[in-house]
Amino acid sequence: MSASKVVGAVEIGTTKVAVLLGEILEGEGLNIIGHCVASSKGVKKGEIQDLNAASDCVHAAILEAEKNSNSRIDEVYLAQTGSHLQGTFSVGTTNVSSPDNIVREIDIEQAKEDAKRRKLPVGRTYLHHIQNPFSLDGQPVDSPLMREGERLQVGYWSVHGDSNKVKNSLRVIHGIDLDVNDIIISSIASGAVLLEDAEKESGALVIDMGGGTTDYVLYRKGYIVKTGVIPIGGDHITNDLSLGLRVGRRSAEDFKVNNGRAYYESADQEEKVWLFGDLTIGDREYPLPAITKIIEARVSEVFQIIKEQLEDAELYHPAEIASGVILTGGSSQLDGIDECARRVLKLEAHLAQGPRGVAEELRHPRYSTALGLLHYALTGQDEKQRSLKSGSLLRKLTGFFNFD
Amino acid sequence: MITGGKTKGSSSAGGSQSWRELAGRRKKHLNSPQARRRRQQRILRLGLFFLAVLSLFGGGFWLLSMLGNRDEAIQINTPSRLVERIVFDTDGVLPDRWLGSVIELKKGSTMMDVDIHAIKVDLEKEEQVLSASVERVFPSTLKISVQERVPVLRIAVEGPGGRPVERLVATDGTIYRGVGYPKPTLSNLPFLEPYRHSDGRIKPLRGIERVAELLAEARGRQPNLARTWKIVSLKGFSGDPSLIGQVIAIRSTRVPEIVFGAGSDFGQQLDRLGLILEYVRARGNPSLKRIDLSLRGSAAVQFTSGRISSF
Repeated sequence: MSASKVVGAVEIGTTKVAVLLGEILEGEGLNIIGHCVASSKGVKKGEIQDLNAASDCVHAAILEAEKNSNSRIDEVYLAQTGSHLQGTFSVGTTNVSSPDNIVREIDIEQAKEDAKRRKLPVGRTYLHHIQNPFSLDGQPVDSPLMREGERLQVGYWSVHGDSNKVKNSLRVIHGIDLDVNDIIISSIASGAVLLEDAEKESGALVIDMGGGTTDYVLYRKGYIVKTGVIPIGGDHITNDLSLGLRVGRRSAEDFKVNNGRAYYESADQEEKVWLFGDLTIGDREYPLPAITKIIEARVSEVFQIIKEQLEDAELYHPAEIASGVILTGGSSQLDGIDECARRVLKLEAHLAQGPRGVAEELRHPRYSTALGLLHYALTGQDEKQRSLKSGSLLRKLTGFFNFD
Repeated sequence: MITGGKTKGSSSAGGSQSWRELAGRRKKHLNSPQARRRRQQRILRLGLFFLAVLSLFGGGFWLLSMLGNRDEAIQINTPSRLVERIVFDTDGVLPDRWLGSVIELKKGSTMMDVDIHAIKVDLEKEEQVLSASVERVFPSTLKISVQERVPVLRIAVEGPGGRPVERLVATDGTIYRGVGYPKPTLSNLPFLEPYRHSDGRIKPLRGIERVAELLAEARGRQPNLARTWKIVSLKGFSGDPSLIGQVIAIRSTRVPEIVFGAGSDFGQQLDRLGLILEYVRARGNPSLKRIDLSLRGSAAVQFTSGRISSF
């Protein structure tokens, strides 16, 4: 008899709630057995503002996904975003304890503990301690075990968030009698499935542009070295258009989706676009350059903020981000957004293609985060756990993400 | 194939101040309608599960108790009396002593000790017995009734050492030894010369019931004549009277061979035979060799002189 477990990947976004159901078969493979995307309520800029409204839509999405798959979720993997998320880089140091200066397991653990020792202020809680490379006597090493040296150091990028806001997300899931097995921040989840090992190794910046926030994660030499959340997303572009064109939000959203461009080209100077395009009363023409400039200003602002944050952290080295920028999330569908990213960030940029081997409908950027959550449901976050599983990971994942 | 590769280093937030400390502190439920519905469904499923388990255990317990009961003999406290009397009843000739040779009843058997089914089976194994019934007539009587086969013919079969032995043939073709018949009854039965099947065997005997009809008809209409019949030959009768040319031949002390059509009315044939014999007697009783009554609408009479007449 095979032991299978049904895991739910839940992303509570500003505009939509995405739920994917995966069946893990004896811990060896994962099949996606159900999914549901529902409109989100009670969430602003990725943070839950109205617990009851958010619960209603999340619970409805979970029930719908369970109904679709004719199964029940055993545990949940939850995505977390919001501007309350912050990251700090800590370095743990230890002197190699053995007289022969050979690094043992105990030295590695001590360096790790030292890096994670930092106390957070009251009301903050850790979501991730992301390990960075070790250095032994100042020289970076991937694995210091049994190597000779005197001083061992390890860096950690620790992501923490507001306890109450994290608790709110947990309460929504607990409200439907489900346990949260792990919380993974959206950018890390997306990056996990959108990038190849080689891209992570050569350095890549994944930018997930959602409705209320833009999350990013920077990989260097295979390690996650920085994550961040910008409280600006597609909704802000819609707002800008709504104000600029003096139309309602819904019309502005439709207009953005149908005509929005994130990069101005001089060839567009004379082009005009209709507001509704169906010749109804109130339909009117707007010059495309005016529209594009509104959108471009907002999108450029987001990229500029990311660039500044990377510069502040002394991580903005285009040569070390050779794989460039990978854009995902619902708002990455804006025409010309890759060109805008290229211009602002001075890096190669392209739209994420979605993981290969996944059903076509699940390759849409709106599922990137949820797919990443399922990836972690299968592999886990711990390196030891992952190394045990990842040896045959690709083989195991032959059926991974295949939608039944 | 999935493109998501592995990320170096762990990323889990263990240790102090981890979000997992928050997860441990579950407070009151948020009661969204969907959550309530899911909770109700879970309770319902749980209830059904327990009901199923309960039914399973209940069923198992019942089954075990049933099986347990099967192992134990049913205790009947009412004392069973000894069999004091056996009443034997037959519609035939089997004597009481025959019963003693067929069934064996242990001395001191009680009424309930007697296996009446086994006795019935043993009785019906005897070929003279067509059917048997055994009843307990409480308080102490065993009543055995048998219905016997009726002999129609005698047959000489090969016995031990190749010597011919006499057996009886019943209406249904059963050949049996015959116990308890008075000698005159047996001596009045003609012998049978059976039909030989295509493989050379004589059994099973078929069509005896048709012969029995002929004999009964003859005894009724021409009793004096019937007494002279010594051999019934079925050489020309396969057992199916509907087939063409099926005849039953009789050899009697008066006429060496009388041939009856097996499919025709025996009454008419016997009447015609009576007329023929009357006519012959009136003509001085010339010696007859063969009378064939099987011809449609007439009869052929062959005299020992070689003359043939048609009636």
